[in-house]
Amino acid sequence: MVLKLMRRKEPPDPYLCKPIITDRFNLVNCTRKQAIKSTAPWRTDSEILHNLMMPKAAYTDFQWVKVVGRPDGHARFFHAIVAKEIKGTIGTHRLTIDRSGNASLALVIHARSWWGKGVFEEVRTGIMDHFSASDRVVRFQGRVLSRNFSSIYNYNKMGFRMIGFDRKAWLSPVTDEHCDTVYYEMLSEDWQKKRDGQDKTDAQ
Amino acid sequence: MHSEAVSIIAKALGTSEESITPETSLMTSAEWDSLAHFRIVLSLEERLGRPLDPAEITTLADFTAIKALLEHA
Repeated sequence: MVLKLMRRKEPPDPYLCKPIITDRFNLVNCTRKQAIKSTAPWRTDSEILHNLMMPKAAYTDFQWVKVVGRPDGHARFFHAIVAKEIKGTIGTHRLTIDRSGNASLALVIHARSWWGKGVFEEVRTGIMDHFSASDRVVRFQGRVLSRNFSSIYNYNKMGFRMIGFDRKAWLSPVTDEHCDTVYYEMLSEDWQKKRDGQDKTDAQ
Repeated sequence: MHSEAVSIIAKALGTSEESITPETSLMTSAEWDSLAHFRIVLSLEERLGRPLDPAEITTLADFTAIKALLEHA
C-alpha cells in the first residue's frame, strides 16, 4: 500500500503519443489492450522469443498480459507496425525510457513474409526521428544476441556503435545453451546530426 | 582484384567479383542486405572451421574487415 502511494504515475506525453507515419507503415501507439493484441501472434513463437532473450519459450494468455505490462505513453511505448499495403499488423516496436533518458529499443516483425524487406530500417528510422525530437531522450540503446545476424546487420547499417558484449550471458530456454549478447548505442544528438546530413545530401 | 574475401562477398551478394572493391560495405552496396550478411557470416565460419566470436561478428561490415579476418586466420 505504501509502495503504491509512493509510485507517482506520470501523465502521457502528448508529443510522444502522436502517431508515426513512414512510407509503408503506420506506427500506432498502443494502449495496453492493443499491445496485448498486436503482440499475441508471437506469444508462442519460440524463435522470436529466443531472439528477444525472453525467459520462456512460450507464454499463456495470462502470462503474456504480465509480460507486456502497461504502456503508459510516458516511459513505456508499444507501437503496432501496421502495413498500409495490407492494412494489417506485421510487428511491434517497444521503447522504454528511463529516468536518465536512455531509450531501450526492441523490434519484432512476426510476419515472416516481411523479413528482409527493409522493415527494420524504415520503422526504426521513424521511431528514432520521432523520439530524438524530444528532450527526454538522450541516448538509444539495444541488446541483441550475437548470433542474431539480421539485428547485428541492422544496428551496424543504422550507424549504432557496438559498445561491448557479454560472453555466455543468457541461457536460452529454447536451445538450453548459454548465448553471447552484444550492446549497441547511439546518442540522440548523433542521430539528429546523421539525419540532418542525409537531408542535405538528398537536397543536393 | 582477386582474393578469398572478394570471392566470399561476391557469392553472398550474388554479384560479380569485379564489382567488389575495397570500398564495398553494407553502407555502400545495395546488394549487401541482411540475407547477404547472413550468408557472409556463415561462409566465413565454414571457411575458418569455427563459430565467429561476438567481436568478429559485429565488425564484419565491409570488405576490409572480412579480408583482415581471413588474413589473420
